[in-house]
Amino acid sequence: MHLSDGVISIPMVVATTTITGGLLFQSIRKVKEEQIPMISLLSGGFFVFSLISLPIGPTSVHPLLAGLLGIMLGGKAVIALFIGLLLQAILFQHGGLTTLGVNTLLVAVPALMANLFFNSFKLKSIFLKGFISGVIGVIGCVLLLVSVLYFSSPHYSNGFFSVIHLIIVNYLPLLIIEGLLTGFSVEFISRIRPSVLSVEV
Amino acid sequence: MNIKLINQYNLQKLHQKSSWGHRWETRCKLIATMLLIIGIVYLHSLPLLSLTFGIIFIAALSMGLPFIVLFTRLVVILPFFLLMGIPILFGGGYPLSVEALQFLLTVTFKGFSSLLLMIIVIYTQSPQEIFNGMAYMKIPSALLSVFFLAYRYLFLFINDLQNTRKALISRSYRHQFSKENMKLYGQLAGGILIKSIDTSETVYKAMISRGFEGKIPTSLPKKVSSIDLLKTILVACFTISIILLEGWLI
Repeated sequence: MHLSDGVISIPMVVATTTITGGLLFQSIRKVKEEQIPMISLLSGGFFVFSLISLPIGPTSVHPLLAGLLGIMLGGKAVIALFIGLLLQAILFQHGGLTTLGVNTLLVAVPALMANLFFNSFKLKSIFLKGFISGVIGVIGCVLLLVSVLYFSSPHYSNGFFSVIHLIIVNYLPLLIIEGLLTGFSVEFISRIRPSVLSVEV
Repeated sequence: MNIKLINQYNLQKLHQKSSWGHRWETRCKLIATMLLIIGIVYLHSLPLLSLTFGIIFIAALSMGLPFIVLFTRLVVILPFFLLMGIPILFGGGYPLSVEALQFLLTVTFKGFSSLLLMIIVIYTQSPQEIFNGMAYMKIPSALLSVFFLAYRYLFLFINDLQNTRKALISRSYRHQFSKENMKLYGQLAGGILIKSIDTSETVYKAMISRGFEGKIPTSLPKKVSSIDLLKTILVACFTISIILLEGWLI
């Protein structure tokens, strides 16, 4: 998520930054020294993979990877996302500094939800588990984004062709793409390195 | 996102300049930038926002940042504001609401101004200087280490990805939506992540052998001079003034 500075209201900035700060503090407290390189490199890996544009008809989308990140990093996903989004903000000016908290929160919460689903539900097909986790990631992101915009200004929900309605329509194809991508990815990792997928929140 | 944008204007050349912005101590500059961005986000008055944007643009030019660099970076981000602007303007149907137009312009000026400030930060000092400065700002060492390592390895992964892309193109890959392509992307993502974990294990061993104890060593930052403090105080005063002025205008 790349909300720029000024897009959301000041109270929303304060609230989301406080929540993200709390989540980040909790995650950092639990980080062990030997986990630092892994979190860093996975953060870089996710950052790079999110640069890939996936084709949908005449246009393309960038994957969110919230589900996959949650499955692989568990609670540490908050740190990886925060750093990834900070790098995107300062290197590409995608996102903002006052919106770093909200942008992190919008992906971190769905990532943690995806992790909970992946580790709690037992399904025979690892692909299906990955697919549903990917879908949970996108649905969570969209629901949070829509709520943040709705409570920030009435301009985002004004009329039939409002920003919020367009966001929901635009994210529908990503739901399928992200599900497939996470499913195939998790299936591939489970064959090559299954131990990587057993991280809990 | 275009990775070429980072290197397009030879960042190193820009870092080597010696303007008042380049000489400004990193921590002071970061604090001033953050203060000003918060002040800008707080504003609602369009004339004040456009005036602030103009002042920041002139400040960036006076730091020796080429007009074309600033212009290109702003234009790149323009489609995002247009995509958001069209539904804001036309979502409610005709006639267009003046209030909606004002809201859109306000958000755009806020976004562009903070964007310019971030451009100033990364174009007037090297990433190493930013990292050194941040290391002395009471930021948790684990977070700084992750930031530093992620930045260092980012470019290696980008090279890997570009090589994979070339390999795919040379094997008649067609960029279209299909189950096979999704499988390919999924496996590519899985491959990148497994490679990240493998590399991280090697990196950790290398770091341990060099005495890593949870904190990446950094060199001492530049000393804060009275001129650095003066620049920061001036930005803080400017921020307070525009907020007070807005209260007076409204």
